Amino acid sequence: MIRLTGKAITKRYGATRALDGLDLDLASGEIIGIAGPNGAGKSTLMRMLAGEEKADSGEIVLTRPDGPVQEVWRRVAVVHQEPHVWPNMTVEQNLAVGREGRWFGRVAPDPDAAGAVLERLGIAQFAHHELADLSLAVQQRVEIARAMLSDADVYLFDEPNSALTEQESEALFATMGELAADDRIVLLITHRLNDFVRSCQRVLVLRDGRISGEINGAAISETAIAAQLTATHASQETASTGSGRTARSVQSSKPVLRLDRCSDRLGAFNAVSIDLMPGRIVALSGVEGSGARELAQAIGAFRPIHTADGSKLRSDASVSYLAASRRHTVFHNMSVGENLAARLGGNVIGGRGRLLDPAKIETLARRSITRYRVKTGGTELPITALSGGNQQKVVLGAAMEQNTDIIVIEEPTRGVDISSKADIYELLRDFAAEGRSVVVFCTEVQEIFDAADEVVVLSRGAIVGRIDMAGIADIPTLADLLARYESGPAKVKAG
Amino acid sequence: MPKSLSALLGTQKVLNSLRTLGLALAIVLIALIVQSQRSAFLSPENMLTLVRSMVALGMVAFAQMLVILLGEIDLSVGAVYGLAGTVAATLWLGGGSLPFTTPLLVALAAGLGVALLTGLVNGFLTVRAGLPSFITTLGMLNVADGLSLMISNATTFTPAYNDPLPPAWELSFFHGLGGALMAYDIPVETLWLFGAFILFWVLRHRTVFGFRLVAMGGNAEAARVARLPLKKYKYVVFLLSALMAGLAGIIDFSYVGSVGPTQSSSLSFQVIAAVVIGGASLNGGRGTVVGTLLGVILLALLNNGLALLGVGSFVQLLFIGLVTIGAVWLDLVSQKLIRSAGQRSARTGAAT
Repeated sequence: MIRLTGKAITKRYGATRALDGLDLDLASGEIIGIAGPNGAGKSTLMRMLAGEEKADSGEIVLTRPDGPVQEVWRRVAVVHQEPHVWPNMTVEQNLAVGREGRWFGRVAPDPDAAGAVLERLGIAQFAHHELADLSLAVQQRVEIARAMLSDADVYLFDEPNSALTEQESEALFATMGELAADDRIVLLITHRLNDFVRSCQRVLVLRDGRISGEINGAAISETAIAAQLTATHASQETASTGSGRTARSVQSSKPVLRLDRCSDRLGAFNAVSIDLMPGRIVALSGVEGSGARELAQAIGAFRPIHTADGSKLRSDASVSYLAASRRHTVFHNMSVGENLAARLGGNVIGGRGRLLDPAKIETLARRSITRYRVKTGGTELPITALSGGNQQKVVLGAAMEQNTDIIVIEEPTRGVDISSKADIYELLRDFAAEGRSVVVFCTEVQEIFDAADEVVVLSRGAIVGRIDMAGIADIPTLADLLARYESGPAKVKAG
Repeated sequence: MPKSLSALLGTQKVLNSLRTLGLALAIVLIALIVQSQRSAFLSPENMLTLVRSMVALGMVAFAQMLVILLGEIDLSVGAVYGLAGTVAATLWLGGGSLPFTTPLLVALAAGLGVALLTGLVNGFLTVRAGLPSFITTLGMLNVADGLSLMISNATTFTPAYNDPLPPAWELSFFHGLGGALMAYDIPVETLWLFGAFILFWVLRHRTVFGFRLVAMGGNAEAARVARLPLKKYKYVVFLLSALMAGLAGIIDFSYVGSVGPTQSSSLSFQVIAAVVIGGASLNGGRGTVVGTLLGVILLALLNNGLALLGVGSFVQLLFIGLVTIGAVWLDLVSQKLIRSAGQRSARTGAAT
């Protein structure tokens, strides 16, 4: 048995205490979940265990059967939320970095072990492809594979399945379970409470830099964790979801955008027909490679799309698009206020002669912060000082300020805590309610359930199902329906 | 694992081979054009001249490729090339601003030592002080040029006509470093190019050092998390780059038989042009030794061919500049085209 203990770990960043005398006692053999709202200190704790940062005070001790370990981080493998991988190298080479072995000769990982891990994660066919050619989901799986290949005592999974589909997540949890059964410490950090219920035998709740509660075994449920996280948030969320659904029946005759047998130039999807109606939130769903993500990008004018006769799609509808990774949406070198204004033109933020007008930007930023419920100390703070959820609200606000007819978002709440999630869904609904159209690409059933008015399911580049959410009562029904569409060969109409 | 062509088409691996092939084709094409105009082009004498002109450029470019692979740049190589030769010459022959002379071997060691020192300073300022290497090495370019002029008093050194004349064995040893002719009148200097090519190819493609350079250049943050020794490697590539520049300076000095004050920045830029034409990315993470060699050949061929055609050195300079820009642009456009074609065929291939 392996034990990981921490005593009175404290870490400050300036005036804020990220960790405030945290005590920890973890044993191998089970998957341990770490829940907590954004800013509770989850990431700090993780970086500390991984040795990427040092604690101001307190100590972390890892005890193996043969005695305590000197440098704890050497025995810790981390799966980062944003994959730390090498886009210029092949999948196989990525696995070899840091464990190259011999100094001379062709570098490659142990072929049997690497092959087995890649097979397990379903990316074996990509072994010789460079990561730059592969999707974010595959890159995240490479990050997971790197951790699996290292012979560590402690495995840290930080939002490991945010880019995975349901089935892929299931496989990942199974693998995590095997690691735990192999007498290792497995830690899971995630914002999806359901994942804790599915995989963990023990959930620690982190609040304000220390462990505020613990839930064990059968007592683990979404409501139990949510109650521990914040009592007020939990009740708010159920209320907002309910009210959102009643406001869904906005119907108008003229679609904002009509796709009539449109195809991707690179063949990611074919002959797809969708009407985007004003006031509606449409969720696109499908596994990686189904074309759903690509369709979202195409509607977002981020990818060329062609009509049935092969000509370029023409549309009067204006559109703004937000990519899945905040790395591609946030301007890290700019302040909160500048980020909110960054997508706007001289006609909005410019003064006389279209020269930049700082006062105008400031006014806009202040207004946006209130409007989009951004929790920040001020407009001039660097965007990187905000939590993931609040960064996402800034990004969303910046896109909405463009006042386009359509807004397209890939994975709108990736790596966002539950209270921010509720805010974001509400913002999307308000936006749609102004007679505009919202398109989201989702990987989570929960998210589709919370956000969408209708779902378009894709498989192998074609639409295989459409679901009207008005007819869906609960998440299991939706999950079941989605799974049937994705596996079934025939087109079915439902909802 | 079966690798069907359709699955690989459009992937980075195929693109890399295609660009190497394209570069080779361009070289053949230019050679044919020059040959059709001037039959002297393919003569043994001219071929030797051509290979000879690649030696310094190639030796320095291979090392520069490693620097660029890591996402840094070394602009100082041209000046370090001059400095190493000047220091060695002044110490050996006297006549500069130094009050003493030394035997040849000491002088050569000092020349290389000074070169290594510039590399160490480049590394220190980039790694420890955190200055961008563009600035560090741009400064070093001027510092090394200034030092060369100070030490030599802008004298031109010619060992064979020096007063006092160095011992005969020193003269022949020095001549043997690069200038001596082997069978078929091939200068010894070409062996250095050959040796450097082998050495750097193994270093880049068959050692963990080269593998990790690719990783560090591709994603420095991930490399930091994986605890690769990024700082150490940065020192090593700057030292290697400076060493090769110094070595090339001394070898060229041996071949030419004299060394004097030069405008050295042009070598720096030719070297970087060769590396970039050879397919390396200035963002780091991409670059091969064979590609760099092809870049070097292309530049040397252009210089040689344009000189044969007698267009004049002004037009020659202009042409080289245009080719550098054109080659990289062409590469970008063709990459885009091939990549999208590959994605399309991969989709249809997967569907059947």
